[in-house]
Amino acid sequence: MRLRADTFTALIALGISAFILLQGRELGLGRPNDPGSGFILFWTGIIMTGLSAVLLVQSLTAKAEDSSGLGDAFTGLRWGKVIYVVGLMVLHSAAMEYFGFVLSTAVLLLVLFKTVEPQTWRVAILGSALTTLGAWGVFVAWLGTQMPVGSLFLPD
Amino acid sequence: MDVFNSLWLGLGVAMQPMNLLFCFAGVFIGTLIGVLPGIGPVAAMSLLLPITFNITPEAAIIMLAGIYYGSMYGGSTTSILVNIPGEAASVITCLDGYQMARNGRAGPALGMAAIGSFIAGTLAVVGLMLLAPTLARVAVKFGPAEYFSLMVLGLTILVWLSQGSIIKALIMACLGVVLGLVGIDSITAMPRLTFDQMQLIDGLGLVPIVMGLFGIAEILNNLEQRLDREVFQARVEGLMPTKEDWKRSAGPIARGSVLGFFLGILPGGGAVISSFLSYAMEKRLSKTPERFGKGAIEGVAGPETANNAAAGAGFIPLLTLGIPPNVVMALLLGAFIVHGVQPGPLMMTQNPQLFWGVVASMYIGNVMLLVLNMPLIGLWVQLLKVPYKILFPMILLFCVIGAYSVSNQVFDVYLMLGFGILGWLMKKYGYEPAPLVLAFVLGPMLENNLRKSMILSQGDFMMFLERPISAVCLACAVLLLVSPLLPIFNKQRKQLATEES
Repeated sequence: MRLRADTFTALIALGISAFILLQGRELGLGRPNDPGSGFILFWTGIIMTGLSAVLLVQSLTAKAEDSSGLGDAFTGLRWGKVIYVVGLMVLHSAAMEYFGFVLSTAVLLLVLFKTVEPQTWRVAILGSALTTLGAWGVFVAWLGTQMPVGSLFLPD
Repeated sequence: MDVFNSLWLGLGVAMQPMNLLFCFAGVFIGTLIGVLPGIGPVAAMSLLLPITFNITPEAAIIMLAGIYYGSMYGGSTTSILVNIPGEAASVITCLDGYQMARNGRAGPALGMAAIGSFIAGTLAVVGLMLLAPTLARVAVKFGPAEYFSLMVLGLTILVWLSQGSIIKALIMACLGVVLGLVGIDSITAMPRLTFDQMQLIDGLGLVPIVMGLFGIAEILNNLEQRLDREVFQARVEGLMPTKEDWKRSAGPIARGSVLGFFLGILPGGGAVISSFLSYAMEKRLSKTPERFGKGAIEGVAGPETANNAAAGAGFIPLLTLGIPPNVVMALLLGAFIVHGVQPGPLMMTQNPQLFWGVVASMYIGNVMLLVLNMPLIGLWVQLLKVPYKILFPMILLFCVIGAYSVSNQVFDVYLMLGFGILGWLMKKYGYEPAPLVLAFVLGPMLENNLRKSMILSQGDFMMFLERPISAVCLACAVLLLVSPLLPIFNKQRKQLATEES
């Protein structure tokens, strides 16, 4: 049987709601004249649980032709590119503290220019170098934004 | 101090060289953001928010405000020349603006959009200047119960106007409230939802969340599909509209200004809805409605005027009540708080330089936009020719810099990427980010006011119904929430929501 998108998301929302509700209760509801730290969390969790349950029922009772499958939203789209770019961004973030902003960013941009929508080497190298230097010049040198220098380049 | 003395004080602040420079930077960046599809004012403002930490509150707010109303100007350029709206409020301008460009009248379309925007922007500032002091005097009498109910109403309107499922929008709003509560409880000092992570003690940052949901998610959506856009190739010349254009546009500009102003005050997507309603109104009032969609200048003048008037009016609830009516204003609220200023009814008396400086800068900014837009249209056209495959790595990089620089932690970059993926998935499954972000900002205020009300009323929930303003707000919220159950209201809501989408 095809899993409906709304059924899936409603189940996730139900799980999150239950978690919020339990966290709220654990933190303490307090009294009506002195609400505790968990008061709002608990009641928000209750409301969210109700809403998720309604969504779940709606999705289960909807006609098959009115509801889309979980995978339909990805059909015919280049979602592999999305995962690839997010992966590169995570690597860049991890590398930034060790290799520094300038080096890691220049490499990230070069890879993005060359692989996502492949450009010529000239465009990729020039684009990454100029963008990195431009960003460094504007944000770091001019506006004083602090970006990682890189532990690799720091004196012992 | 009367309004004119106050405005004089504001002009003194806004005319300081540094503030003029930041005003210019704001409107220039705003126009640029408006012109470029794929990055909107919300992402741009959150990107630039961290760099305002080192400047005065006046300069910071003047620049961020300039980005917002500047983007309204810039959005029309892409609508007219490329048939792709630079931002949501310019969607409707595509219909007649692009047709005018195809008919060889791109110049008058761009010219009328800029002039109409200038008139509406200026009128909105006049309205803001006249209405804000009165509203602030009323708002001083508001207690926590009124604030709580007003915020509930604001969130409800935004949810009501969401495209598609109200249930999903409400779930997003609930999630936003919860995310807003992460961190130390301001009353009991107890950590909530921090999972023993030091980075979460101060709560989640607004900038990484907004940049993730609006900036990164948008890039990821664009990456999935090929964005081939064709820039109108003919030379753009003769920007000044003809006498006939003026005759046709005078009414739409006047009506668009009034409509946009009043819709802009209401919570929800004021600028977007007002542009659509203005278009619908002009088409209905026109003696020749068949011209609409084929290059009628009224279809450009009305909506472009309305969205700029709404952008200006959106500042009223933020500056006088301290309640942001939309995501952009929520970001501005964040900027105010970062600079140690609490917007609200007392702002005019406690920070008159800031309040009136921002108001006066909007007059100056509107003049700058007019001067900037008319001669620089050629430059914007050239910019539109930069392919997205070259632009997107740069936008990604700016997002990383923006997220990192808030607290100099890589954690915030990961947070942004996480919310980027969430935003990308949310779009696929029909969940909107706007209720989440607004609820995230309002969540702590909502909780604070609720708890204060409960303490003051000794735990009596009837307090919310016994106070007239609070009762009216809650009644309106309930009516809005049950209205989709009535077919006639549901049809109207869906129409508005579809227009906004």
